[in-house]
Amino acid sequence: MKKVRLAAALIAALPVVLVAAAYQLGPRLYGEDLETAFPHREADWTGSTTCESCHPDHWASWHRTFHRSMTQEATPETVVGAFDGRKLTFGFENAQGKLVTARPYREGDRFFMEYLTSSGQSLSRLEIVRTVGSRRYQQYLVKSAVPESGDNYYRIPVLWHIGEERWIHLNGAFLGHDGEPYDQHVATWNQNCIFCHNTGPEPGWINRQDLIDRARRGEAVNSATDSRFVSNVAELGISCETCHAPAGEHARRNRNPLRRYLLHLTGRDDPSIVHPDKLSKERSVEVCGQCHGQRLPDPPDTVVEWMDDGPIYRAGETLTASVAPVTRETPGPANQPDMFSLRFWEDGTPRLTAYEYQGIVMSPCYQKGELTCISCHSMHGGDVFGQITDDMRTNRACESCHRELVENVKAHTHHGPESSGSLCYECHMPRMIYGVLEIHRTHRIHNPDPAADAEAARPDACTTCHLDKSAVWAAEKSRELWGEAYRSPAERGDGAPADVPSTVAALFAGDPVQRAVAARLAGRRDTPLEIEKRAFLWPLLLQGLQDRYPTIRWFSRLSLLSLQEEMRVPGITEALERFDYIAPAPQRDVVVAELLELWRRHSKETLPPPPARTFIAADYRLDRAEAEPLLALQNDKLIHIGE
Amino acid sequence: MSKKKKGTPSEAPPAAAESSPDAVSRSSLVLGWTMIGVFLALGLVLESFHLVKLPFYLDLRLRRELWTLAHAHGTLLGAVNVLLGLSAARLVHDPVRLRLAARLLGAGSLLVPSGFLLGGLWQAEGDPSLFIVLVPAGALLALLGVGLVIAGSRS
Repeated sequence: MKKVRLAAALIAALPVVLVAAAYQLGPRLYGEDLETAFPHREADWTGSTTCESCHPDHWASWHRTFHRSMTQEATPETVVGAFDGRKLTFGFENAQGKLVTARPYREGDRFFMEYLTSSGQSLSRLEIVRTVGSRRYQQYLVKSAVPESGDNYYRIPVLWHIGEERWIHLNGAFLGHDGEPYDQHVATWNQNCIFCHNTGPEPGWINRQDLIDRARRGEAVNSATDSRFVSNVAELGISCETCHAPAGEHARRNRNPLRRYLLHLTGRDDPSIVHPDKLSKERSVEVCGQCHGQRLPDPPDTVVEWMDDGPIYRAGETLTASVAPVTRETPGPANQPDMFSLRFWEDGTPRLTAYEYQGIVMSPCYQKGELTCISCHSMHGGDVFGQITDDMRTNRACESCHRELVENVKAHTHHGPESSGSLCYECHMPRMIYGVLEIHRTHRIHNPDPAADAEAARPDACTTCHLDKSAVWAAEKSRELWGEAYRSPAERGDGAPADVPSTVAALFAGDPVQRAVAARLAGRRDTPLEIEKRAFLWPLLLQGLQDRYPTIRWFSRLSLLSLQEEMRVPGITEALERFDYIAPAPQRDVVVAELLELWRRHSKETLPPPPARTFIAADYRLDRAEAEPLLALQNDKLIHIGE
Repeated sequence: MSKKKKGTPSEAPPAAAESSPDAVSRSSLVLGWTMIGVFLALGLVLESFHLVKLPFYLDLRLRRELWTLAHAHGTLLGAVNVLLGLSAARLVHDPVRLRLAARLLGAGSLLVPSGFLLGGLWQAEGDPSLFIVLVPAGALLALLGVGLVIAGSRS
């Protein structure tokens, strides 16, 4: 019995002994390890499944995000498009000038896209093997049918729009015009999408030397179409290690409980992993900026390394050591020198999505304060649509630095506390960014300046809400409310007179992004104008339905639907629902004619006179002759979206 | 009903009374049923956390796992103590061995679910709090107690 009692005593003492031993041994064994900076670039990728075993809650909060499902193998569980065998004919022609019909269909658990001529002859039949995107769009990848082509994956030109539950041609999603060829946006996944839509991408360019040799022999070589790849990714989609750096070594080191408990109990940082919230503001925004900030390899010749082994940058490092973020000043290629500059408003503010990094670093809140992406966004919490908590959608987002202004918001905004004019975002982050068939908020947080905005031909916080007002009015009003610093605009950057309401000026004289923003925001409900005072927008948006840019037709239709919900013009809803913005032109023209006639017949007796300088006649029809000088200013600059 | 007076010659001394098979059996039964009651109630509490979707419990997978383990182990070890209470006298004839076995099993039975329960408080995401060391210690003590019962039943 004595032995049993002794054993029992030893067992009872075991917890104390274990804790004491760990307390003594932990710092001695791991002190140096925890003090030494870790070279993340040398670590291997391990995959999110490994992370899950120790970080189940963070894993779960990541797993529900659209980051996780950005790229997936095509299976019945992941494919959301309607592969139902119905034929789709869009208003875009192939190289032979013929309309092409696409037919998405399914055989068992496999998905196919077949292309047919207008006479029904099959051009090709491609099996969908991967999907890209899961929030707004789902795009589809097919694999090269030629074995010697390596593992090239190609994006097909048709995508599924999740919100609208319909097929869309890529020409109708990007800012192209009707004249662009059917396969304009077919892209090789291995040298494009792979970089930002996956974790640990390695394109694996296998025929680089062959292409060089062919070029030396004088043969025509196109690296975009002739390159062959055998690509690898650590994980499809955007997973833990994109933001926390490769974690193979971190996982290996932390298999040791002594090391783990030393970290838990002392609260020390583990250098073998990156926490974006513990980085300096510069390094922190760069973690997101590696994808949410279009960039080029720097120096440029490192593109060869990228195409072989993938980007050099790892989370926590200095992004600009290996990339040059694209700015308005970045020179474009010889055949389109303004390719990059067109992606920015004239004052350098980005105007496309995936440039949020460039916007943030231009913001005083970042430059003079401590703002980072995760000041507002939560990667492991909040709404997955925007990765943001409810609080951060309100003025609470600004409260930590601007408490006085937020607490007495009316004194600052001179708008009612409940009006959208008193929401910080509306004036300091107005919607002016095009991406994925939507207009988003700029991430350049700034003070509105109507004169500067008009001169840069840029949407302005005041006049995108006060839809019937001009830049001149906005400048005068700003001077009245916020002081003499607000000057009047000399002239609009697009050449339209500065006293023309900005929405009208942008829709008539703007380039495709200006027109897209104006068409979309014309349908907003949180404007001070009652619905009758917004009637002048009808003829403008009916004009927008005839734009040669499908995207502008898309936004015009959405805004007309929004106006119609309040105005209820007989017959219009049905006609608008029949209007397909990417249908062949004759089909669209029939519906537009019907809409114009319905609007003409609608009684305008209860409507106030149209606002001045809108080029709308008393009967609420567009006065084309008057508007012609402005319409002549409209430019069709092709804005290439680098996605 | 006549009450026995304290200190009468027919009554066993207190220490001997405590170690008598009946007393050991009774204390194991009391402990066992108490544990069953407490840890069944814990199950109810955990269910109610699901009912009100309590983030403190539901959002932390390891806490959920540890507290579920506390509920299950506490209830089952309570049942083991009841079994000991019911069968001890018939199995182990050495009262000292029996008392030691019951104490070891009782202590182990308390430590194991306590370790799980406290391990789920102040936890890191992937690791329980340091109180988790109570679990192996408790398990070893309980095993030692069970071993004594087995050995006692053979002698």
